[in-house]
Amino acid sequence: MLTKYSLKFITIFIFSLLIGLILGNRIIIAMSLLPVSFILVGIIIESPGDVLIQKTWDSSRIWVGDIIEIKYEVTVNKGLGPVFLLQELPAHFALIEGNNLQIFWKGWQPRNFTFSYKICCTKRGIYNFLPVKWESNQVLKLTQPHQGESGEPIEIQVHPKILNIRRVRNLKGISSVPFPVNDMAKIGVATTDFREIRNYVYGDPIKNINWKATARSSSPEMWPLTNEYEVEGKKTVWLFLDSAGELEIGTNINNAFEYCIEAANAITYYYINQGYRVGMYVFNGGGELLYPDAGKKQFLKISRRLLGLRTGTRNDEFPAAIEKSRQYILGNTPLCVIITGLDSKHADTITAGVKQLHQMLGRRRRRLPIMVVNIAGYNIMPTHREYDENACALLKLKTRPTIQQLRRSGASVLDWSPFKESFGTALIKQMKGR
Amino acid sequence: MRISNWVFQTAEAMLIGIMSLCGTITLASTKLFTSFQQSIKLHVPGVVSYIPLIIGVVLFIIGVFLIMVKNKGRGFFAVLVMLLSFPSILSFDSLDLFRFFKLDLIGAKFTTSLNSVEMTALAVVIITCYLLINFTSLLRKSRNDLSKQGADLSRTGEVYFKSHLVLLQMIAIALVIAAFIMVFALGIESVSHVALARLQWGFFFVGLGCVLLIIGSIYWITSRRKC
Repeated sequence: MLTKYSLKFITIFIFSLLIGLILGNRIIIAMSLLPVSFILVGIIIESPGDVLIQKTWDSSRIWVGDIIEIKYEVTVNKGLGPVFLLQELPAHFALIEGNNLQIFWKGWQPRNFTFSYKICCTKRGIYNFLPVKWESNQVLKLTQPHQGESGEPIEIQVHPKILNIRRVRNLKGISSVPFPVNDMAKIGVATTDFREIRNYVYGDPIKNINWKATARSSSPEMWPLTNEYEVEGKKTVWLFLDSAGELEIGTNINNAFEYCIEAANAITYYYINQGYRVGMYVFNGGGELLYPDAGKKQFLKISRRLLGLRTGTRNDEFPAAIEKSRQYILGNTPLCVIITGLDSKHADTITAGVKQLHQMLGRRRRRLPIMVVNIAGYNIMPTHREYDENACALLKLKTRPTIQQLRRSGASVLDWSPFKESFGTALIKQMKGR
Repeated sequence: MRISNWVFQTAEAMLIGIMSLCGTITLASTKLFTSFQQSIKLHVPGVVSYIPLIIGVVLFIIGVFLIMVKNKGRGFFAVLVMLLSFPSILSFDSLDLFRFFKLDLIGAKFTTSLNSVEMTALAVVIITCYLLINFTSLLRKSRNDLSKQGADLSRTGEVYFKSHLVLLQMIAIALVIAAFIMVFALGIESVSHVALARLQWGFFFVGLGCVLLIIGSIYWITSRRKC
């Protein structure tokens, strides 16, 4: 298909040839021959085609903030002219080095061409890299360009950052959360790790009776003894993750909700690594429950769920979330970690929920295993003026009564300002010096 | 290989200059211009020798302003140059239209001091320069668009340079083809001249047939390339 440039020159040719013929003027006829010869030569020269593109990249696990390099090998087998390549980047990917729009010259011979660029993944999620779009032009745009796509689409999973949480061994103090690291679960699936020998009770499996130990026992009753094994995992940690739309304070990339997800991911990673069973309930987004389980598989399950998590429109689902998780809370007496932002007007639902948890777990004077992680949204937006800083201070003051109320209810509150301190530092601050 | 922008701009200015020069030479060599000069000489005798220079410079300035500054009006500039060349070109008409239609508007047929080879060479130079200017501007526009889109400047420069090389090669091939067709056509003319001379309107019918033949072949090539 010809372009407007070709048609322009064909028109010039026909017009001047007609004038030349009418006037019988050889010079005009000679002049008219040049544009048409030019067009014919241009049409014979094909625009580049048969483009093959291979994409290579480091396919290991990608975390938020990672810089990945994507390399391309391009082969163009026929034609002459410029070839344009465009790899559309999904949203939230920043180009760090190189260029995703490339242009190169294809000469008379087949040409191999390589290029690469580096991108930074700024937000967790599942992203789709579409095939590379290419366009080849006839060298002087005398014919319409050829367009196409080459290469397979790639799905990239960008995982939320795992914040640095570690045990501080040499620092003497008392944790505000009554949940020792080596608390073992009382119920659960039995493992093969031997714990102790005890008297047989009705309901124990026969295969667990230790006959040799029973025979050796000097008890006159001759009551059978059974082996008791460690149950799988330690105690349970139950995460309540707030996914209210109100948490999206800040930019599209840096907002309180993203920090909530990072905190949830970090807590899951830490406790799963310590051998705990971790369950999760995502509230204010319609409600979603992930059963408590131990092991890396559970971490991957929770992490994958966190990848695609979006905020919801509700903001009062927390008490309902506790009701829905009731059987797990009553059965396991877990450490409840509530990750939320308390600087919204719906913070009272969190207070009500904690009271509800208190009723479930309470009936004892000691501190409850409840930790509220408050992601302070007022520090996420950069402050430009003095008034902005004052507004932050006012918001912080406004949140204080809610925090005090929660502490009075028996929960420990971790107030985390992501821009001021790391999550690990915020956790250490919770510890009271001895 | 990347060549600085000023080289291309200088080349463009040179092409405009060559077109202006050709237009001025063809105009200055006509009898019409000579009579115009003589009429001027009576009133302002000192300026006469500078008139061709003034015309050439004015034409060059118009060309530079339109093409290089405004980046449009290439066609207008080419038409302007052709208008200046027309009195010379029309002097080589086989058909005396003025006598044919009994129109004696300017008293005489157009005449020029240039011979047919010189005139053909000048006309071909004008049309070649027009082609070059046209595609140079097109390539420059493409390069600017790419730069705006954020393409790598060194690669864009390389493509720009090589596109110009191909343009020059294509022009050279087109000139050879045009020359070949012209020589071939002249050969046919000399062979069939006697037969054609016997036919009233013979040139017109044969010419029209040739036009239709060329249009048909262009259509055939383009429609084939569609699929």
